[in-house]
Amino acid sequence: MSTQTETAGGKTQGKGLKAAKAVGAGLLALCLVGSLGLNVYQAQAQQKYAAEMGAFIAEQKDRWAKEEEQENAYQEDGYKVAGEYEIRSTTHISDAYKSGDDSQLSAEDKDTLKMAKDVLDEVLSDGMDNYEKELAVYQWMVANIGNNGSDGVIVRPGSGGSPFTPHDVLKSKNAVCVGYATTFRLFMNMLGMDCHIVHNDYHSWDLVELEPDQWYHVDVYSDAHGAEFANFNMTDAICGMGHSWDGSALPVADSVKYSPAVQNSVEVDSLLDVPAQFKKALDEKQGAVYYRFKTPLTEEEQPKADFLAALLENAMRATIEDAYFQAMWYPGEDGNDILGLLVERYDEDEPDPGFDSTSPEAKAVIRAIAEAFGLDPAELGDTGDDPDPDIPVDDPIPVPIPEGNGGSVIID
Amino acid sequence: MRNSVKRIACAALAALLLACAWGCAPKEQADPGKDVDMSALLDTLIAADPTLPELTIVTSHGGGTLAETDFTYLSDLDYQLVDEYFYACAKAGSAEEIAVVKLKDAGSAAALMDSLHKHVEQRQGTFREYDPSQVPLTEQAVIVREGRYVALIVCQKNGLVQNAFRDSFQDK
Repeated sequence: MSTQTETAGGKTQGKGLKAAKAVGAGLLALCLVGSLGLNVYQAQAQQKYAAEMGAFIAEQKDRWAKEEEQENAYQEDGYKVAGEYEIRSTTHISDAYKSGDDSQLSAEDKDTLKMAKDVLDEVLSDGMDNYEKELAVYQWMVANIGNNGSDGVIVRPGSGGSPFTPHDVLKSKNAVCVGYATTFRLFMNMLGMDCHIVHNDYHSWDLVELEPDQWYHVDVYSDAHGAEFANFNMTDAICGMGHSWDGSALPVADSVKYSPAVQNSVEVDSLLDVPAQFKKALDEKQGAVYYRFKTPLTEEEQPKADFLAALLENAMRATIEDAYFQAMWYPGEDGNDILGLLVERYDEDEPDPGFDSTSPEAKAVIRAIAEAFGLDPAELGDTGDDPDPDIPVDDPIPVPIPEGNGGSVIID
Repeated sequence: MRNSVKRIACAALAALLLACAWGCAPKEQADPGKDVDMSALLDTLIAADPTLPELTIVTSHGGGTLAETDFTYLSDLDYQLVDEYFYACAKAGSAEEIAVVKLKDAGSAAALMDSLHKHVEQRQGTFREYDPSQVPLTEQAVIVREGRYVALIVCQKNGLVQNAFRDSFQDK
């Protein structure tokens, strides 16, 4: 009997122990899970914090690196020439012309597009290549876009607006240099030619690509105010003789194929044939003539050619009053130089540009300088009162000698 | 039954271990940017400026101490931070030079660019003394970066070369 009792008690004790163990194990398991869960949470939080710090540090390093950058600063669109005339993009207008869809253009841009299209319809004909199209546009602009009375890039008050955008240029037929440059660029872009605007602080002109990698400088403004073709399709070297600019971000312009010298040169047998040919050109009122030599000039003959050009200038001045003359050597395609003689005739109806050094105003300037520096006005070009035309200049004007003072002369 | 409990316990522990591993997963790497072939980049940049004179070119391809020594002519940056580089300079001694350094980490870009500024200043000082006509070129030096790549450009057409450098990293 006691064995059964012992056995029942033992079983009860065993069950209780088991239950306690089970609870204990469960609690331990819970603690373990809880601890591991906490670790996971902490690890993730740490990782998130590290990621944020890493992003912050990367951003700081990125900012420092950006501050260290030193980029090429040449700017076209958005640049203000003379601090005033902004070069504005017209790509959207030329794109609209090429696509035939002007729906996205503003009213003013549509107007610009129409005016530009009318010009192209007028000057272009079928079968023209890029050079011929460029030439046609250039000649139209030189002939039709005047100036507003300004001698430079500055528009004076009351001169009729600020024609520095193609819209205002085509509307008013007046332009400052930026107006010429942006209008010419618009035309070139419409015709599918790439074109940069080259500028310095106070002037701008164009650099157009007529064939792949063949670029040419064109300063329509200068030619509209001077000798035609003098600044047309120039190389970097030729353009650099009269212009300065930062070309570091611009293509090299060293092609001569479409320069006016190569396109228009006349072959002469020798240097001594030039005077007669040039006289004939002057009689025909040609503005620019170019001569290439059947037998290329040697280095020894170069001074003789320069001497001839100087004498031609004297001869030209004796023949034509009020004209500007320029002799220049241009590179030919075959490496031989071409002699260019440019004549710019001043319009008789227009006032002679520049200051009249014989005017009373000029004399006043000369006398003021002479007085300030203690110089004789004659040394500065002032010949005194206008001389009597009947008295030769070389004859001295007699000075009266007062009686009784021994022959000395007092000159006031 | 005991075996079942043991199996369940082991499986639970394994799952928890996996969860921990997931919680400690490595952080995301910063985007290092596009990779370009350095030989092709060298050809592209030199071709961008037709006015460049004859150049002497050194690269890291040879490896070893020579590459590291040549690098010191360009920068005092720790060479361990550099993955690859090329350095082209005018053979006749004029100011033109084009260099690109590919870093192991984009975070070193600022330090490298600072060292390149010092390099340009040192060259400027030398030219002021011995060949002042070259100084204007050094004053227009370009130092730019794309991701891990930093370029030093000193030449007539530095704008064109800069554009070519940037274009090399654009998706075509």
